[in-house]
Amino acid sequence: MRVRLERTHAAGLVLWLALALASTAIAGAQETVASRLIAQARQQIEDINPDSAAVLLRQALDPRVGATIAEKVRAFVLYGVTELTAGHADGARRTFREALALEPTLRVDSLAELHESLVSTFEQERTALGATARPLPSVLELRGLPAGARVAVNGVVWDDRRRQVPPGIHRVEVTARGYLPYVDSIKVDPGTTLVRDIALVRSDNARLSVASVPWGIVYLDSERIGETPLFEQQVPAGTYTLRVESPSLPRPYEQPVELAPGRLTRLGTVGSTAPPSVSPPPLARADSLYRAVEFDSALVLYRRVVWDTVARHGAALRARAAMRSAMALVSMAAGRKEPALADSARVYFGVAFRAAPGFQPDSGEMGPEMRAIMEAARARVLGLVVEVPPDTLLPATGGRLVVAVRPTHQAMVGFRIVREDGGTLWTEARDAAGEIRFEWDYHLGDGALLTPGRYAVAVMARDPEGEVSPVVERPFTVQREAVDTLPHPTAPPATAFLPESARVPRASPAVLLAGVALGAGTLVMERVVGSSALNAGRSSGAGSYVVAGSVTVAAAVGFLAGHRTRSLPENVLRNAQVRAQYQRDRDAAIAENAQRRQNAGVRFRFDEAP
Amino acid sequence: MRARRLTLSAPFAAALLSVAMPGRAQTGGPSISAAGVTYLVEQRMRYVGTIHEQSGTWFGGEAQARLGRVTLRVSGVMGKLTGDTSVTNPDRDVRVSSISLGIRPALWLEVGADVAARRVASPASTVVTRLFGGHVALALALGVDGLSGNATAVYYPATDVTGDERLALAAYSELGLSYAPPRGAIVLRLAYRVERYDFSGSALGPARLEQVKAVVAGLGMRLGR
Repeated sequence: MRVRLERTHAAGLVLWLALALASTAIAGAQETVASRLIAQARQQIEDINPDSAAVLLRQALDPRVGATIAEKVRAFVLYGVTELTAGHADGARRTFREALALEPTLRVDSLAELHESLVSTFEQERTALGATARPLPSVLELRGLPAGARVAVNGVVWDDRRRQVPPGIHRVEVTARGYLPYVDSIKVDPGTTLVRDIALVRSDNARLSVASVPWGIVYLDSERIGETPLFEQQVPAGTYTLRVESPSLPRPYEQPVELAPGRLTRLGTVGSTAPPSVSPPPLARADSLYRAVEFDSALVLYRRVVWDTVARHGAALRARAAMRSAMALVSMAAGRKEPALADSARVYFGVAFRAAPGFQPDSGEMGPEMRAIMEAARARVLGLVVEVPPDTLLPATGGRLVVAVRPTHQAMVGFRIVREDGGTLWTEARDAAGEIRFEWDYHLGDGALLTPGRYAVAVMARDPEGEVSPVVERPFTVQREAVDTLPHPTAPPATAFLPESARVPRASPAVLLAGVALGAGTLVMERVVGSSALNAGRSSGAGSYVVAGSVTVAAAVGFLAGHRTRSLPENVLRNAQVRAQYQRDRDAAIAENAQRRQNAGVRFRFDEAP
Repeated sequence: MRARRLTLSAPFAAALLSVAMPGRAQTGGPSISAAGVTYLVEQRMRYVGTIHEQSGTWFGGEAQARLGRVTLRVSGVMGKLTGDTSVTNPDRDVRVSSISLGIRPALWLEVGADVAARRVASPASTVVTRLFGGHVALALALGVDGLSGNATAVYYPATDVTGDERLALAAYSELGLSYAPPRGAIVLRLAYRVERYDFSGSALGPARLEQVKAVVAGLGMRLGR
């Protein structure tokens, strides 16, 4: 062994001198002697010549070569590989310690294909030394998106689909023309690459919201599509004539509508016969006229606000305008001695309290007579106060969505949960004089959990005198809680598989047999195919011997120079186990993620009250 | 006797099939090749109890196009057969052209249809023979990429003869090797070929037997795999 090492050193010295002279001759060459030796060693390792590789690496590590720190680290690792290949695990650990001493955060994952136990042995040595590895980056990759999709991760728009991200949960939002928005949260673990396939849902329909007082049947070009209130109902895009029919309306309400694909068209409450206003008048101007006792002029402006269905003023604003209209009418009735104006005032008081049942007028400006008229109107009006929960997260099972409804006086209150297509999911009606609470377990009739999407609560009431309340509609959005899902395991790299066959020298002996058979066939062909009458007593032609000999010799050469492939069943079995393990891990992650999503909480987010 | 032949030939057949791996030139995509060929010919003919022998050299060319499992071949050779200049064994000018279409059910096996025309002219007569038949061919890899042993048998059940009696039997067989280096465009071929033509007898004369033996050497170029 000693002699061999000395010979090796001597050979190394000679080679080193030759290389040094060569490197001097090749002035300006960027490749150093050490890096060239290391590259050659790497090639020898890949050709399964660990002894040659070890010689080259010892030369690279010779101080006279002047290897850099990085080159030494690389040489030590490769030398460890040669030791592992030779079965010298202790020697490998020693060289790995040398490498770690120079580069404590070194990782050797990229060299894993050189030896199956390289990474594990190296990491064991690192653990023994107490060193820490350089962390792998966390990467998130999104796949399956249509062209033009806009991707925002944590609010930052991504131009690409794959980026390094800090470990943790990331909110992913994807929007694309013609698709429903997609929102999810994805957890990326440290040092892992998470690939997430995203399948967006197409949205080719338009959506329509329309209400009417009283309830009516809605038609689009004579086709019945539902009853009011319709809440974001999916309808085919196009241009239609919308018609609302109701026995309580003097005539059907009609208007042209253009429904754009993927867009929501809100028509508000239709059926009003009030003249439309182009723009809302400034209430300040009306108030000024009111204070100047210019009741007629003030009334004109207030009425525009009350009946303007185009601008869709808020309920409080309409209520205030209606209240001022009523007060102006009462004042005008007193001054002009016209009782009919007082009747109109009652109508406007009623409008005010229907628009905003909880509206509190500034009664300081009212005289006793006016207050009496107002209170009489308030008593007649059936109003509803609907209190919906704030942004609420409820468990998938066992929770209750609670909506409180308070009619202004005793009435039969009807409560409905409607979905985008107008269908009723849940309904309940109760007689109540005060606050009542509707509680829903947000599961459908078949027991299925309410799916994410847009819905609405629609409430109305009717008192014993037949007074019908306005329909109170409170849209809300249902989302499933973002859950932390497991990343799918990465597919085993090519280095995880062993070769399933080996190429061994010499072709199959059957090649020789085939050559002999063809040669023999050539010799006897003349007798087999030819006419016996012509060939009797004659030997085969010389040409047949030439060809037969050539074929036989060629087969012999082919046998000696050729190779054959030998299957390695143990590697085939091991590779199958690696594939099966990967499939099991992947199936387990998919099942676990499905379970987590199924158990995710349900978030109810009601729109702001109008 | 036939059973014994079968018994003896079975191990050979098994050996051939066991190495019946395709040569490299057979496994690739579309290819086209052309080669010049030389036939060193010996012909033997028996007529009215006398056997006449002739020899000569024929030259010609072969071309082959292969697309997937289908192969189309055309060939043409021509040359002279020299006899003893007697009246019964005059020199002959020979032209043979053929076309064949083959399909490979397996990479090592090809079957197909053949059409050939053979024109033999002497000072006394001109015989034109048109042959219609089929072939079976084997290609056995011989250990080195591109090197293969080849065996072909052709039988013409339908013939049409002008200037002579009809043919009772027409067939030929060819064995040899070919080499198409995987990294080159050259194609080499060496084969031994035996052709047999048995003309029927008639009221005007007895049956006539012809046999052609030839060493075939070819050198050509190939494009594609």
